[in-house]
Amino acid sequence: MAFDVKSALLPKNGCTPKECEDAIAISPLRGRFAVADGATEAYDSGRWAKLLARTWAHVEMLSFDIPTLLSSLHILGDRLARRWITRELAWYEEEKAQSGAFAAFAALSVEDSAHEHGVYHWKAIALGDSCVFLEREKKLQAAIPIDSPSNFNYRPLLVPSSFREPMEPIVNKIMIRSDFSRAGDVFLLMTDAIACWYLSYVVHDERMHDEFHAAVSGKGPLGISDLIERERTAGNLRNDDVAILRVEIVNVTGSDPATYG
Amino acid sequence: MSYDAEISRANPACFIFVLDQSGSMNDAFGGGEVHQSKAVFLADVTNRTLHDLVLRCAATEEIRNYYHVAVIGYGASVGSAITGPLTGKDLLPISEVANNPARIEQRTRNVPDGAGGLIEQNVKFPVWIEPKSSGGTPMCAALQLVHSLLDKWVSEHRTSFPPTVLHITDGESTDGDPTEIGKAIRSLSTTDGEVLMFNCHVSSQRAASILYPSSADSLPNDYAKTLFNLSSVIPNSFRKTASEIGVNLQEGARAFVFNSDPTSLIQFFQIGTRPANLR
Repeated sequence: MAFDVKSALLPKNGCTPKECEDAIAISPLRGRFAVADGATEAYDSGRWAKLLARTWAHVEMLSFDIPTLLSSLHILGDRLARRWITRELAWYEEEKAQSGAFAAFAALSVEDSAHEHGVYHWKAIALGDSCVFLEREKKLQAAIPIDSPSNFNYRPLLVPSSFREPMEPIVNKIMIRSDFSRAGDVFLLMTDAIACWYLSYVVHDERMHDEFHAAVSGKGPLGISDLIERERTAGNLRNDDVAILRVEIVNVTGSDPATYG
Repeated sequence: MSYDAEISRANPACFIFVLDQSGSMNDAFGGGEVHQSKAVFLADVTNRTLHDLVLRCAATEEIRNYYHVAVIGYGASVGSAITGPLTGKDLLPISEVANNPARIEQRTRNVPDGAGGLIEQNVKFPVWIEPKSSGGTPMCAALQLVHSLLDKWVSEHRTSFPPTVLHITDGESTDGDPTEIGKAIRSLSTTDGEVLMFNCHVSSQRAASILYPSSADSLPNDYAKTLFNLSSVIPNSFRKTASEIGVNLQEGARAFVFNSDPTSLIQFFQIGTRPANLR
C-alpha cells in the first residue's frame, strides 16, 4: 500500500500562518490522515485541532469505536486544559477556557484488504463540517459528512475539549463510513470553507477539477495559494482558514510507503 | 450599501453605545418588572455586551482588535461613560477595553454538569460602566459628540462595516430636536453603507412594547415618531440574529424599540451588535 500525499494549510486573509486554526496530520506508514478546524470563537481551539489531528495520525488512541473514542477525547481534553492552569489567565481567557476548545474533525484510515491484493479498505469518520471526499476517475464517489454546499452552516456541532455538555447530540452526529478502494482513487480531506467551495465549483466542472488537483499537487501553472486567493477575491470561497489533504492511492513496487509533498 | 463587509483587524467594526443617564433613569424599569432602576439595568446590560464583544475577539493569549468601541453617557454631563483606567477615553480598540475594566466582580451562573444536572460556576464579571442618573437629557449634545467621533472614524476606515450606534433613552431631549443631528450621523458612511442608528426607549410604565416597526403609524406620540425617524432600516445582515432570538423583523423594519421592557432591551443589544458577518 502506498500513497501520494499533498497538503496545503493556509490562514484566512489578514492572519498570519501562526494564527491558522486548521490542522492537518499525516501518517502514510499507518495509513491514517486527518484534518481539523479549530473554532475561532472558542479558547485555544487551534491547539485542540492540532492535538486531535496528530493523535489520530500518530497515536493508537482515537478509533472508530465510539466508547473508546469518547474516552480518548476526555483524556485529550484534560491534557489540553492542564496547559491552561500553568499561568494566570486574564478574565476573558478564564471565561473562554471554562467553555473549553471546539474543533471540527475529519479523518481517514486506509488498510490493505485481507481478501484481495490491490484492494484497500478505507474507513472515514467526521464530526462537524470538515469533510472527507473520495474521487474515482475524477468523479465524486463519497462525501462525508456533507455532500451539498447548502448543508454547510455557521454553527455545526463540534468536538468539545470539555465534556460538560450532554454527549448524546455529539455521538448522534458522528458519521462513520467505510468501503473498498483501489489504486488511482483520490481522497480529499478538507475543512469547511474549502470543502464547500469544492462541492460548489469543482465536482461538476472538469476544468476546475483539473486546475484544483494540479494546484494542490504543485503540477499546475497556478499554485494552491494563488488559486485560493483568486477564488476568495472572486467571492467564491469564504475567507477562512484552509486545510487540504490530497491522498492518492498509488501502485508502487518496493518498500517506500509514501511520497509526500 | 450592502452591509456585508468582512470584519478583520485591518477592517474593524465600530460600536458606539449612547446611554441616557438623566435623573429619570433612577426610576424602576418596566413598572417594577425587575427590581432595579433603569440606570442599573442599563449599566448591567452594557457591561455584559462589552464583555461579549471582548469574548468574540479573544484568541488564545490575545485580543484581536476586530472592534472599536465607545460608550457615551449624557445627563448631568456629556462624555465617555467608561470608568476606571479608561475614564475620559472615548473610541477605543476592544483590546484596551478588555484589559482595563474599572473592576471585576465575582458572579455565579449555572452550567451543565455533564450528567443532566446543573452546577454553580464562579465567573468574573468585568465592570466598565457604573449606573448614573442625574440632570437633564442633553441628547443633541451627546449625538453631536457621536457625530464628531464617527466623522473621523469613517474617514480612517473607508472600507469597514459601517459603525453601529445603539442609543438608549427614557425621555425627550432637553436641548433641542435631535432630528437633524441624527440625520447627520446616519449620512456618514463607509463604502459598505451608511452608519446604522438603533434607538431604544426604555419605560418606567408597564406598557406594551413596540418592537422594530416598519411604519410610524402605530406610534403613540410625536416623541416616538422622532425616535422612529432617527432609526435606520435594519439591513438583512442583522435578521439572522433577530430570528435566532425569536424576533421576527418585517421588511423595512426600523432599528427602533418603544416602551422597551427588560427583555426587549437585552434583545436590542443582541441584535444591534451581531450582524451575520460579525465574529
